[in-house]
Amino acid sequence: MSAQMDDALQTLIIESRELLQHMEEALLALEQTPDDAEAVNAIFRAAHTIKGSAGLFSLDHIVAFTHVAESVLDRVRDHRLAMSPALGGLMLEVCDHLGWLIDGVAARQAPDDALSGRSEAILARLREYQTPSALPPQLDLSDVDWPDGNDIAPRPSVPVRGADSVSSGMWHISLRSGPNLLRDGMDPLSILHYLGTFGQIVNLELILNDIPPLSVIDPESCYIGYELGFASETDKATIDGAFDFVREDSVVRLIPPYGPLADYRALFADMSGDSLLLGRMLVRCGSLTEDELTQALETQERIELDSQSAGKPASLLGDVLVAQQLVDKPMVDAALERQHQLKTMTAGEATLIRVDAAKLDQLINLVGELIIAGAGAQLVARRLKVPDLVETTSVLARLVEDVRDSALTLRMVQIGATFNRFRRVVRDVAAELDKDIQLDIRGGETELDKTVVEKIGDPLTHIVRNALDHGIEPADVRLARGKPRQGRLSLNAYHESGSIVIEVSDDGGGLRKERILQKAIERGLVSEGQTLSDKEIFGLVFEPGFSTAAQVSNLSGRGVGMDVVKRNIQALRGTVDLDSVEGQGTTVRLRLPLTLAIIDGFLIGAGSASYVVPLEQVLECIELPDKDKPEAGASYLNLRGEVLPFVRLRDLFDIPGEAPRRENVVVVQYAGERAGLVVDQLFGEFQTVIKPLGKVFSHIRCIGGSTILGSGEVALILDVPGLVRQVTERQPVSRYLSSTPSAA
Amino acid sequence: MNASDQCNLGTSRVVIAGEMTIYTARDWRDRLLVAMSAPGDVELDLSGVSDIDAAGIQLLVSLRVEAAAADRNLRLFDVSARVREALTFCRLTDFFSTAPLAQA
Repeated sequence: MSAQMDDALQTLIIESRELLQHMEEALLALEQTPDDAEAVNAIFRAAHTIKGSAGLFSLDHIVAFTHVAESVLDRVRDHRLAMSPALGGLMLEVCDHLGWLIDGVAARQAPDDALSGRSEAILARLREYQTPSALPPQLDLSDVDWPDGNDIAPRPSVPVRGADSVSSGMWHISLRSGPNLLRDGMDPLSILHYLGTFGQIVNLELILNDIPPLSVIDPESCYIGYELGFASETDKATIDGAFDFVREDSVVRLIPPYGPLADYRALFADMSGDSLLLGRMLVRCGSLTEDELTQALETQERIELDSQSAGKPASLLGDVLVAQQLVDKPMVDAALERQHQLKTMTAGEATLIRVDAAKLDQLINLVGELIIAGAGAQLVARRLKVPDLVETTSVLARLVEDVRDSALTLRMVQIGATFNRFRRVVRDVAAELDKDIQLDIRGGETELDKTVVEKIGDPLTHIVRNALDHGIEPADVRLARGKPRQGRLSLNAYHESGSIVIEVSDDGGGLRKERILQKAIERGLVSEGQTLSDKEIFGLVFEPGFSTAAQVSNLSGRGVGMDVVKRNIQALRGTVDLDSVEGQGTTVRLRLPLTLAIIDGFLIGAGSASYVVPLEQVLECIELPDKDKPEAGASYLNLRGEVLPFVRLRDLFDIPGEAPRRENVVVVQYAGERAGLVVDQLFGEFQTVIKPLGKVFSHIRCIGGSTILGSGEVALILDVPGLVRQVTERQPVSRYLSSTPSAA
Repeated sequence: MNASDQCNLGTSRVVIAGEMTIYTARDWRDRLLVAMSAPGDVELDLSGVSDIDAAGIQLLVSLRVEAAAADRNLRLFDVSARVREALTFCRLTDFFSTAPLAQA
C-alpha cells in the first residue's frame, strides 16, 4: 500500500474512532432521554459514515457488519422500531465490536476467528430487530416508503406516482468522475462494489467515450463515468452516502425508482456529450424504455430551442425542474439546508489542526531550554550593569514567559472527554451490580496537561469502581436508610492554586471509621490506644494491602487498589485524600499539578545551595522573629496568633555552617495545610524547567526535581506537599501515614 | 512490475505482470506506448496481473481506442482471474472481444 493510501487509511481509523466515541456518547444520552431524535440521528450518521469510509477501502467485513446495524438504526430513526434498553445495550456492543474491528485494521490484521464469531453473534441478535425481509429478491416497491431527498425533509407517507413517472422500479445513478478521483485515492469501481453490499447492480454501462487514446491519456487522471441501474430498498441518503467522497469534483445524479421523466431530461441537459448515445445507454440500463427515451429527448430539444430563442444559455437542472413545477418546496429547502450544514462543518474543521504530540513535546522542550538560556542572559546583563542590555533582556524575558504560557496551553486539554468515558463505566458496572446509579459530571471544561490526563485514567477508574461497588448501597438498603433509590456518583473538576482538583463523590454508605481502625490495629499499622484524626484514619485506606470490603467482588475489594492509586498519583506529583461521612457518602479528592514541564518558582537559598519552591504554593515571606531563634529545637512560631509549624532547610538537608544573623521564613500552603520553611536568603521569582530526578533518587521525599539556574548551577525543587506533610504530621503515627522516611 | 516485450511477425507482445493500478498506470502507459510505436497488432499477456483498478481498466480501454484508430488489432491473452472478474463486472468483455478472453 502506498504512503498516500496509508495516510488515507490512518485518517479513516482516527475518524472512525472519533465517530464511535460520538456514537457511544449518543447511545448513553439516549438511555436518559429515549426520545432524543438528535441522538438517534447522530448514532445513525456515525454508523453510516463508518460504513461508507470502510467501503472505500474494501474493508468488507466492517461494511457488512455495519450495514446490518445501520439498517436497524434506520428503523429506529423512522419510528418503526422503538429504542429499548435492550437495543441500546446491543448497540453499545456493536460500538465496542466496531472498535475492535477498527483496531484490527490499524494493526493490519485480518479479523481472526474469535472476532468473526463475535461479529456473527452480534449480527444474529441485530437481525431480530430487522425487518422480516430486509431485501427481498423480488423487488416489490409498492409498499416501500418513498425515499426522501434528505434526512430533514418529511417523508411523504403515500407514494405518489405522477403521470410523468418512468416505469422502471430501479434507482438510476449517473457518475462522471472528476479528473483527480484516482489521484485522491478513490476508485469509481470500488464505489460500485460498495453499492453492491446493499443492493443489486442490475445493469452497468461504462462510459468509454471520454477515455482518450493511449498517446494522449494522462494515466493518473480519471476518465471513467457510468450509468447504472440499481435495485435496492435503501433510502436515498444511503445511496447518496456512497458518493460522499467523490461528490466534490465529480458529477453524480441519482434518480429514484419510478422517478419523473423530467429527472432524466435534466440528466440529458446536465451531462455533456451526445444525448442520443446517453439515451441508448439508459435504455440498455433498463432505466428508460424506448418510448420514454423518445419522449424525454423531444422535450429536451424543445427546452433547448426555447432557451435559444429567448437568447438564454441552455437551461440548468433547477430551471427545468422549477419550470415544470416538478420539485417540492421542502425538498429544495432541505437540500439548501444540507449544503449550508456542510459548509459550516468545513468551516469548523478548518480552524482545527491535528498536530503530532511529539512535535508539541519538542516545542515545550525547546521553550524550556529557551527559559534557561534567557535566565543566563539576564544574569550576565545584571552583572555587566549595562542599562540597555538589562532592559532588552528583561523585555526578552517577558516574551519568553508569554511563549512558555502559550506553548503550555497548546498541551492543555479539557478533562470532559475523560469524564465522559465514565458514563459507560458507570452504566456497565451498575448493570453488573444491579444498582441504579446516576452519574453527575461537573467542571468538564477544566483544562489540564495532556500527559496528566492520559495518566489519571486508570487511577480514576479504580476510584470510580470502588465507589460504585462499595460506596453506593444496593437499592433495598438505600430505601431502608431513607435515601432515594437511585444512587448518585459525581465527578467534579476545578482549579485551585496551581493544581487541578478532581473529586469523585458518592452518596453511599461512607467509610466506617471504627472498622478501618480495627483493621489497622489488626495489621499492626496502628497501635491500640492511639488517637487519630479523621483524616489520618481515612488515610489508612491508601496503605498497601488495606481493604475493608466485607465482600470481595470481581470489580474491586481485592485489597489491591487504593495504594496503587496513591502511588500513581504521587508519581504525577499529585496527592490524594478522602473525606467520608458514615451513612452519607465518600469523596475522594485528587490534586494534580497543571503541568509537568515548567513552573513559576520562588528561588531561595540555604548555605551555598539554592532551592526552588513552586510560586503558587508560596503564601508569604516573613523574617524569622528573634524570639524564636534561641531555641534551636523549636518547631512552631506564632504567625499573627496562629500556630505555624516550621522546618529549617539547614536541618532538613544537613547543611553545615552557621546560619546567618537574619533568617527568613517562607510560608507555603498545600491542600489547606500551612508550614514555614526557614531559609537564609530569598532570591525572588524564577521560571523553572523541571528536570526529573533520576530513578536512584526516586525514594527521596521532599524533593520534586531539579532545575538549572542561569549561572549553570543546579537547584533542587522542593516538593511542597511532601514537606508540608513532613512538618505538620510530627506525631508517632506519621511514619505509617506518610511513606515519607524522615529525612531530617 | 516486470515486462518482457517481444516483436516478431508484425505483432508486438507485451507481458503485464503485477499491479495494474493507479500506482503503476504511468509505467504501463509508457511501456504500452513503446509497443504501439512498432507497427502491427498488439497482444497483451495479462496472466500475471494480480490487481486491476479503474486506472488499469481505463488504460486498457485507452489502448484499445488507440489501436482501433490506427486500424490495428488488440488481443488480450491469458487474462488472469482478477482481470476477467473486473472486465466482467464492468461489462467490458464484449468491448475487448477482438480477442477471445482465453483462460489462463
